[in-house]
Amino acid sequence: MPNSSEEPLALTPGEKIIAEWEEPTRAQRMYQTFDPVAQFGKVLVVLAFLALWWQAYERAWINPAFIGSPSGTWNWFVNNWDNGEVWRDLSVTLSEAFWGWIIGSSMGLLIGLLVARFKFLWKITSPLFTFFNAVPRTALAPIFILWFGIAQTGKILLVVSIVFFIVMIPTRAAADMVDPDLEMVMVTMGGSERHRFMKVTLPSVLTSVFGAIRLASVWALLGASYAELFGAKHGLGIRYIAATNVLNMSEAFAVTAIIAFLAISINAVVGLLEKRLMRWQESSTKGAVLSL
Amino acid sequence: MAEAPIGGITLRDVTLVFAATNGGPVLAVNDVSLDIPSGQFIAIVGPSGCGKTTIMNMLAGIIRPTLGSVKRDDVEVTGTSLDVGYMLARAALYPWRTARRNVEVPLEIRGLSKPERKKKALELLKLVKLDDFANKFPAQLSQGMRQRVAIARTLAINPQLWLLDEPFSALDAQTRITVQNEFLALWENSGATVILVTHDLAEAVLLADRVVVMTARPGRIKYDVAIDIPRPRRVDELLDNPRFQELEAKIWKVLRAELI
Repeated sequence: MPNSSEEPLALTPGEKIIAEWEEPTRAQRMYQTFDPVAQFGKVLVVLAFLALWWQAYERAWINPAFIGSPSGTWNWFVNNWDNGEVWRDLSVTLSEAFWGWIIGSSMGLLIGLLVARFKFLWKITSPLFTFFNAVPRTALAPIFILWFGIAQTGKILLVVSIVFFIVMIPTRAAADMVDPDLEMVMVTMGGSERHRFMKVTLPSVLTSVFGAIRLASVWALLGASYAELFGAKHGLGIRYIAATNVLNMSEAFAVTAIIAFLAISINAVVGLLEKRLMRWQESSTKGAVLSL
Repeated sequence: MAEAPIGGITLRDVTLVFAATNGGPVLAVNDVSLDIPSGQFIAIVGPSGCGKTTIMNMLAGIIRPTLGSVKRDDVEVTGTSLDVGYMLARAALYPWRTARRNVEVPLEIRGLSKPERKKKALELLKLVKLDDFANKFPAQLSQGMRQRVAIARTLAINPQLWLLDEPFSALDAQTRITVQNEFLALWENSGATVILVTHDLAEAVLLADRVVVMTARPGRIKYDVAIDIPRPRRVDELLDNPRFQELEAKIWKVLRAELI
């Protein structure tokens, strides 16, 4: 047992210790985590992609009027990084995604737990949930324009409609799969129904659905940008549509890149939060948590 | 039958029928009567499915007998009690809590303040020699360590009755001996009543004051024998004790007939 006192091994003649564990040196550890060959490979792949894009523009594989060039896109960034309107659009889209994500995830958790707890409720509501989950939510965007106009409400609702199912379905499954021994222990210790929910069900479910909540955060951003394509006062989606309408392809490409970078950042931030909250899952070995 | 001693446990003509959803009702426990004096360490052995765990669940107040009565200190058991410690084969620790916070769970249920819980949990972890691991999560502990955390959690409330359902069966042979010895030392200083359910006959004889053998389902009591090996005991030293070997062989003969 690791904590009992360790006596040095008394070796009798003929015995020897074959191998002893050696701490990897600092250089070895750096090499393992950094791996210069792979880093170099990554840079090469990105450069190859940029070269291909550039050639597609230069050689007019696609009509140059319909494709932004790498330099044009870059120049757009250089000229617009301090453009207040771009930042405003970014914050509008982000806030739609954020509120849609918060509301959709909370509702998904709440309803998922409810239908798992009250089976009869699930029996009578499951046809409706199955139907709405099958509805292509993107098709709702133009309808929400009719209902809510170009206000943010419609965008948030679309995000909610996407996020809700991403979170609700695994929540319900996770609530049904709580380790029965963990519940049994709570009961034998005299825990009430409330104790059982707060100390066993809720933490078990949250840990199983955190991945879904992280996935939903990226979908929230995509959903918000998409909803804006159909009409909005401000936002990255409407900026994108406005740019394509006047064939300003550099701006269109740049806005697309902004959305992609935002998605990666959101995923990374929520991933860090997940890693922090789930640090108990790491045993002695450290695993990479961030991956899209 | 004689009156049960004060403070003991009495099972009188206990029968339990499970209303199975298909295949009709199942008779799990058939007419079991047992008197367990306060402070006794009793082991129940028997083949799988003989109703051992069912008896434990009745004592814990999780299920009620179909017929007969289960009494603790001359009071009918009607629900879970706050002075019973129940331990399972799996450590069943809450993986998102550290060792210390796992031990704190029963104390939280009893409404102790945060500093009180922390102090008590650290004392208990010290008893099972895990005070250096208080802030580790279960995933960072070995199986034997996890089971010791579970022992600390079971004992956190100073239970007068310890119900142990195969608590050492998931441990490897060497770890088991260590944990059993620690456990014995804890019990020998406690004065608590212990009911240990186990598949492992040697374990029953090594640890208990008395061994009860149950028949295959429906479970009845077939054999009841006192283990007159003096205490304090140490599991590893007892293995070549002639009295231990004699008792184990004797009980094995009885049990073997039930295993086919």
